[in-house]
Amino acid sequence: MNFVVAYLAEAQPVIDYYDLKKVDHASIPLFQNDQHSLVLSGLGKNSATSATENLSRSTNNPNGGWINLGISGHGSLAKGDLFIAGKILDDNAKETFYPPQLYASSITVSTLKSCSKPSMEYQEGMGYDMEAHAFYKTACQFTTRELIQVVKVVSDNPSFPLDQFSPKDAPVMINQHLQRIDDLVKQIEETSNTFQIDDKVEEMFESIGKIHSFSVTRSHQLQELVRHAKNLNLDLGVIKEIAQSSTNAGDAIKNISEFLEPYRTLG
Amino acid sequence: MIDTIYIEEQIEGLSKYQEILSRFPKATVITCTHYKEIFNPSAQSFRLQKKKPALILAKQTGKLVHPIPKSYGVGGRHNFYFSHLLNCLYDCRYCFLQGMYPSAHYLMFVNFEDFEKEIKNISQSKTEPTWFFSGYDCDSLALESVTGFASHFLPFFKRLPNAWVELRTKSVATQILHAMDPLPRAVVAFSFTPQEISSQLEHGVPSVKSRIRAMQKLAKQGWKVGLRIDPLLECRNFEKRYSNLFRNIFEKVPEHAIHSVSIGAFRMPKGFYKKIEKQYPEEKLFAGNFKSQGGCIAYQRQIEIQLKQKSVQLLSQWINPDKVFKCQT
Ligand code: SF4
Repeated sequence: MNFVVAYLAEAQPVIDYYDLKKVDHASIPLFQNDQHSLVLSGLGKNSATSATENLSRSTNNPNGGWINLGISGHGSLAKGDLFIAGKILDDNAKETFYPPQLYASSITVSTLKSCSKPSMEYQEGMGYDMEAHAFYKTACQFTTRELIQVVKVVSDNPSFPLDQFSPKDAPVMINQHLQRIDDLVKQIEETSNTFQIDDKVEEMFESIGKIHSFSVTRSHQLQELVRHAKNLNLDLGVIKEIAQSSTNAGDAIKNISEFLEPYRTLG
Repeated sequence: MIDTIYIEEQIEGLSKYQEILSRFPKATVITCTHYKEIFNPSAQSFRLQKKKPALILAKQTGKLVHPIPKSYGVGGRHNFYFSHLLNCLYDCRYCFLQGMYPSAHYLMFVNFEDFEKEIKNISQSKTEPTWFFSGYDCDSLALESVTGFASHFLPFFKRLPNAWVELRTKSVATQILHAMDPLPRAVVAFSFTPQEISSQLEHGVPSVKSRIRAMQKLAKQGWKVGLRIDPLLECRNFEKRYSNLFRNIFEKVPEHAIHSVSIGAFRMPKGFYKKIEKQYPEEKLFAGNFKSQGGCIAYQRQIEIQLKQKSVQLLSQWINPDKVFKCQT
């Protein structure tokens, strides 16, 4: 999972929970373990955009899941409540995002507006932050929308306005929701894994690719043939043997195609 | 079944919207300016959304009723389709909707009256019978409990003297049809592949047996039923499987109740096919004996001819060939 979080106070519970280590040589404030990466973006839209872009270059898995986590104001939810953004507006941009809500979760869904300045406005049913819109717009360049979510904890509302909020409270507020956040993280990751490239196909494709000199077009044909062989439950070792006994790339494509032909019928 | 409902702000006052919303008291409701904000953006995964589609309630504008490709008809001269719903409850791996739409959310157009007006105008402008197909972009009946489509439109079609309507379905949600008198100019058309194929490719679709039962019950009640063998798919034991399928159907449903049979081999615009194949790279169907021809992916010509000929021959044991229509690739 790739986390984009504005401040260390908001990120610390996540860093502790997943045991993320600070990456010292990184040019950005980056924390990582084998599975997760977290970047501190700082405040505001431009910071969120560049942090998301930077993280996409530093993470092992830019096409995996993305979460923007932090605190936010809200017009009607109670202080300390957790919500997930079902609609993300921006005070200066026309485009609105609707993160698809595919996950089984008890987290309240709310609209969220990203503002250019800290907001003391509290419209019924509306959350307020300064990063989510820019984060979402940027993350959409790297992966599919279903895998990008924005999760916030309410720090202020009409009864406890922003000027009464102390950033020191942020870790405790986030901490109490970590279990539910982790449930969501797991679901997003599971979903994202369904997109993983089939290693066996890739390995075999690369291995056969070294036997002959395949042009770009033939290379595409070969990749498709290896994938088809796998989908037809054929032994990929046999495909390699056919390639090895072929005289050149064109001959290999022809021979593998002919070999597959009788298996191409549905079971 | 539906946890999230998106609604266009402009339809909030419509009674149809209130009626649908009341069926999902626990759903999260999110407003939008236009359905395209949700349905059309790039970087969406049809495959992932299919796990849990949301419902989008919207108003369709512009032209609502469209001429249908020539090969789609079942004997009529004037053929149109209209779509109150885009996308489907089921998940057939060969379905072209997966390639056509960027989103798998159910997009329902609630302005039924506007559809009615256009259908009425078209039907009144023709002196010959005019066909209106309702299952082009969706399954006509599968989401009846949500949309109320058939219960609304069938009484309307009953009042139009020269309009024929086709409901095309793989559903057994036929209760609404049992509750009304059969319409003389309606065809309830059921699509089939043999059960062995259906189990592999038609995810979430009721069994062949239960669909035949639904068909039989409707026929008994006096509804005209149709048989849609589309897509016809090359498979192991092709002759045996299709022969069994036809026998199972015709032993239960009398020939006279069958209005028409249409047959079409698997075919799909190349762009759609590529998009679907990319989403399901592990799918065996896409390793089939297909060729790209004229912007379409279809079986190699020879295979297609064989499949069609064989199925027409098998059908001829059961039904008058005049009732059989071949969809062209
Ligand atoms: S039933 Fe028809 S519309 Fe629905 S998924 Fe299957 S082919 Fe597509």
